[in-house]
Amino acid sequence: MRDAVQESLQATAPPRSAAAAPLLEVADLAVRFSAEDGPVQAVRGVDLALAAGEILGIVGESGSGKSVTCQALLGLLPPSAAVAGRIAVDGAPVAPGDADGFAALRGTALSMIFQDPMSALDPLMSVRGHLMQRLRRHGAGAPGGGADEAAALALLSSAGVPDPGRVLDAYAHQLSGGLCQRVAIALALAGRPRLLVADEPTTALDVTIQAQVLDLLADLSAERGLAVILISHDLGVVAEICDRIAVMYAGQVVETGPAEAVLSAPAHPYTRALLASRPRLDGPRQALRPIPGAAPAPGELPAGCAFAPRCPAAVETCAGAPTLRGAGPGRLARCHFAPSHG
Amino acid sequence: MAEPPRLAVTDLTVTYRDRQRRALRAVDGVSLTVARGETLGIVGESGCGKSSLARRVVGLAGEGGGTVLYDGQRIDSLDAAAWKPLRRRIQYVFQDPLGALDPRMSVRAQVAEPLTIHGLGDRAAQRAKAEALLADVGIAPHLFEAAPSALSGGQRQRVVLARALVLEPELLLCDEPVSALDVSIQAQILCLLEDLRARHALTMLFISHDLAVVRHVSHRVGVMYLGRIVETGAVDDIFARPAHPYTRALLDAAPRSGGRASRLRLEGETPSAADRPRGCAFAARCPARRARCLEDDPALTAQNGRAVACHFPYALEAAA
Repeated sequence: MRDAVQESLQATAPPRSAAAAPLLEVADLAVRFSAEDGPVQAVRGVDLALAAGEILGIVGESGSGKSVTCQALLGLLPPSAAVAGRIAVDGAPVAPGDADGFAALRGTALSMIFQDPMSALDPLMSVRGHLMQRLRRHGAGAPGGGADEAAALALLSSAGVPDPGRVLDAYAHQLSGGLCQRVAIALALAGRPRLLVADEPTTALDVTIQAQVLDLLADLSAERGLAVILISHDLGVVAEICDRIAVMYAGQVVETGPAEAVLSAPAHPYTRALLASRPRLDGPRQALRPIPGAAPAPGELPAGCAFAPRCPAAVETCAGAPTLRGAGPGRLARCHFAPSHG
Repeated sequence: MAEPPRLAVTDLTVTYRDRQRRALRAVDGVSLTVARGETLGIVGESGCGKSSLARRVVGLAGEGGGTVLYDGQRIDSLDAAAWKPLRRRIQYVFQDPLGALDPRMSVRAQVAEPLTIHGLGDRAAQRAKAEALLADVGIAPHLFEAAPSALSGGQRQRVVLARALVLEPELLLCDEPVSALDVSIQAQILCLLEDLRARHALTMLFISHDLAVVRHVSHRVGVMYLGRIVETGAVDDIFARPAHPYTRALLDAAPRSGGRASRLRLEGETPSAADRPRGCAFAARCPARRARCLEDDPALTAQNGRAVACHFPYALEAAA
């Protein structure tokens, strides 16, 4: 099924040209925070589109704006953040500042899980309590009724919780990190959302447990048509299950396209450099090529290409800001010198 | 007689006690050697005992048994006074650089401090040495007076490395030294470590949960599961052809593109060290387990230049 989705996406790429409105469409999203020494532009014009059953990976290093982007599209940023741009869910626009509009969507259309599942759960409330509360909010079953419990157990099963009967009466501190994340996923699924935003959902987990949770997300997407935005700093994690990826740097998407294509033949020098700086598990051991320097602070962005000061291929042209341009089928890269294939 | 290994650990155990005074054996009979100039990587998931092992080697982890030889000399039961001269020769780098630095002390003062503690050189010499080390790890002079809070994560880890190296140690223990850093900064620190290792002829014990990082820096590797080494040998051999099913599962779990369906997936989670199962500790999760594995605890047995604690090594390979 995922293959079919991917094919149809590639056939209609870029997705926004498809006849049916995509599940989520974000255009020109910008987020500004006010700090002591002036405004900080954390997100600078991000476009995203996502279809049902699709998994989009957003990858970037700390401060790249990946988490702020996702908080903005769930309406989770504090009122002090200035959010601009257009967000539409199922073709219906939601104004960036419309708190009530987002509250109505959260849990039902859009849901979210975070890096630290332990802190997503109330330490004084059992898993049963969490699930009942969430199910009631979404209008499933009568309070205390038997139907409620069956629904709660079904949710835990759908999140791959082994022995859901036992877990139902447990508290967060009695569960491992992996189990907590599965419970958080069960809670996120309670309102039958169509899009799940997962912000570094496996970063705190051991590698064998990470693999289990990534498998679960891929299965949920394939079996229920759940769309997933997977935010990660780890190219390997997004490579594992994502159909498409968007690479963020300094508040902008610098490259996007089908995951395989981007990772096997990156078009942007930053994506290339990220891949070259990562030690490999297979093939001959090669010298790492670190990216010199550090990403610019949001308050100190260079005038032209944000990556130019660290880019081995930077020339005078890079003093001018590049736009996202075509770099192959379904691909875009924000580089003056991105290779364009037709 | 051949010179003794820089570090030789035999049958090391580390025991913690919970509130009910029940013993929890975090490290359960680990033996290893690290030759001069060699880097031994220790890889495993949380709770496998890899950090306790390293802390016990330098006398920082509490109760336990076994022997630790440094250049052939026992160091496992030394008191604080006897440790002091050794601390010049053995240094430790932790995961969290901010926690390892004094928030109120300038970068230069932190790097010079070990020289003061060990009474090496006068103030001017200490200052010069600290500045040389900071330059060595790539800290710009305008940051010498800065407090750690003014530095990025990568810069802080550079300072921690400079401070660890200012005493010119022979053995460096690194516990997840790059895990808290962004990928591009990780590579900078790994390259720096590689360079420092070569120039200072360092011997290293390098602990990480990240297999790719361990493969990159190590000559040999030990894979730990529930307090024990389950497989050890040359890093290239083990990564190319894991013998223990757990090593294979770890390698297969490392995220990457493609081949998801054909890769080994483990069910369940690591059992608690307080409740070590009978037989092989990995058996409950092992796709290749047989009846014997639930009864007999496999010993770490040397074969073909590596050692494996499994009754049926390469079993998954034969099945594939």
